[in-house]
Amino acid sequence: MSRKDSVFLKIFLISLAIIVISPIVHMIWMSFGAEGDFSFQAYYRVFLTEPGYLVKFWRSLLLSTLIALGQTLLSCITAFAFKNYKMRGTKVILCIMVLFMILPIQVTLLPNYLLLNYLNLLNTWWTLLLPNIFAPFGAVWLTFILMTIPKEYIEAASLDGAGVVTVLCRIVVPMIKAPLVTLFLISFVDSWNMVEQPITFLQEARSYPLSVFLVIMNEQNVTTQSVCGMLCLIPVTLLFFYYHEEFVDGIADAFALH
Amino acid sequence: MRKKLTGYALAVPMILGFTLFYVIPACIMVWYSISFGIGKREYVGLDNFMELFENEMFLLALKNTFRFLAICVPTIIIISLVIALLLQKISKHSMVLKTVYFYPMLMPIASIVLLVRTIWGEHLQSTKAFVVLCLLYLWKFFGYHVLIFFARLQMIPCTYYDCAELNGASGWGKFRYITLPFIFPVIGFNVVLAIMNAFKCYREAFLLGGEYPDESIYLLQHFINNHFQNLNYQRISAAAVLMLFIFCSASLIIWGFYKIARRMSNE
Repeated sequence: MSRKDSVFLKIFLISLAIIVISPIVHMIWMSFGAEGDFSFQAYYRVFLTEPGYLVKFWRSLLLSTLIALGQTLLSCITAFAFKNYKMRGTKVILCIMVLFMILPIQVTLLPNYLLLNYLNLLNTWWTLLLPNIFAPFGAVWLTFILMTIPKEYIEAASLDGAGVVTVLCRIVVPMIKAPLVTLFLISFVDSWNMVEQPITFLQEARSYPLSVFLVIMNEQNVTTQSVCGMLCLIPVTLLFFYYHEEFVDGIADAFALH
Repeated sequence: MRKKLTGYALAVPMILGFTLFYVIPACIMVWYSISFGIGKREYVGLDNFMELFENEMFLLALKNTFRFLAICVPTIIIISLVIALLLQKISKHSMVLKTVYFYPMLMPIASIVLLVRTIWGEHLQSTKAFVVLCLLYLWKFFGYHVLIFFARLQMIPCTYYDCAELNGASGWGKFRYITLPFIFPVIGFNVVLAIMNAFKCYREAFLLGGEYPDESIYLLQHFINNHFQNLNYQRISAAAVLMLFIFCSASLIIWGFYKIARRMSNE
């Protein structure tokens, strides 16, 4: 590949990257007051004088963290159970889980609504927590990851007298730390961005998490809206900057494995 | 014996929760779609589905959804494959670029909606809304597919390419005989993922266009959502079961292709 071609290629790819980032840059620019006067006024409003946004922000953060933690823990235990113990029907259950993994939410939305109505949980945040904690993605993915771990480690530990909890905490978890982190991140981002469930299950606009509230709210000032958009963007961006390798490698490995 | 019990005990929470929130709702859905009645439901067979296909809005939603899928899925796969191939040639800085391309997928829609409304507000009420949605979809998800293709491309040993060059293969020949067979299985995965993500694009359409958006982006999920308010369970269930059916058959077809391709390459 000649030098000139290589340079053109680099320019093309870098300009593509710039196009990809431009919406965010535009939003940052708008949040500082696009009318010409560069001011921090909108930031002042959102962060200091109107506490409503920040309250929603922290509550959404708590919700997403709980969902992500719950899903990671539960998937870890379940994948360990699937992999380690020979139970009948594991393959069938895994197949069903894979099918549900790729279905859009609308398929189960209505009956979930009826079920949660029956359980009297509708207007609380349990409706957002519970179905998401039991999402099948984590269990399926971790089961496949655990298949790459040799059985001998676990057998050796049990021969030395380790109980289930010890094997799980001291041996399995340290070995799959990176996929666990990736699962936590993916789960967090998915629940931070969820839109259909809050709209269907929660009836009051006040209790919407941040991802939906931003769009429903009646805010005329474009600058304040941009600042809120930035607010929504911050946790995901920070996580992404800090853990981008886990994200990229985790997703790439998941599909390169097969 | 005790070992098995421990295994069951560990797996039970997830299986219970999964059954409660996913499997049972799906079964209820199927039952609702083949029955009718308020209060006491009676089996009516496929009547609900027949009624659905005579519903104008449903046909519009179906047409739009298929149009969206048919245009966007091949486009995104081809574009991301091309970009992954290009990225492979400059592997030095590819990590940064890959990360940048992947970022839009994580961006919350709430942040994008305002921007899109400001820039393309007037287009959203016209037939160009479809183009806007397609562009949004491409922007959001192409990095994901680039990642997957790139990871797979890295696994091809470069000795194959060197051999081919020594034997005088052209660029296209190298692509057709070396690259394509290697990434063939991953293309199937990517298609399934692209379809899955295309259905997720309903969120953008909903947040940008509202409950009754312009005609060109009225998707299946809009149909389901709108009938939610009417508590018209039959229609919703029938439409949802239809979606389930489409997904099942699409996955089965792709899995079938994959198996056939494997068998053909083993011969």
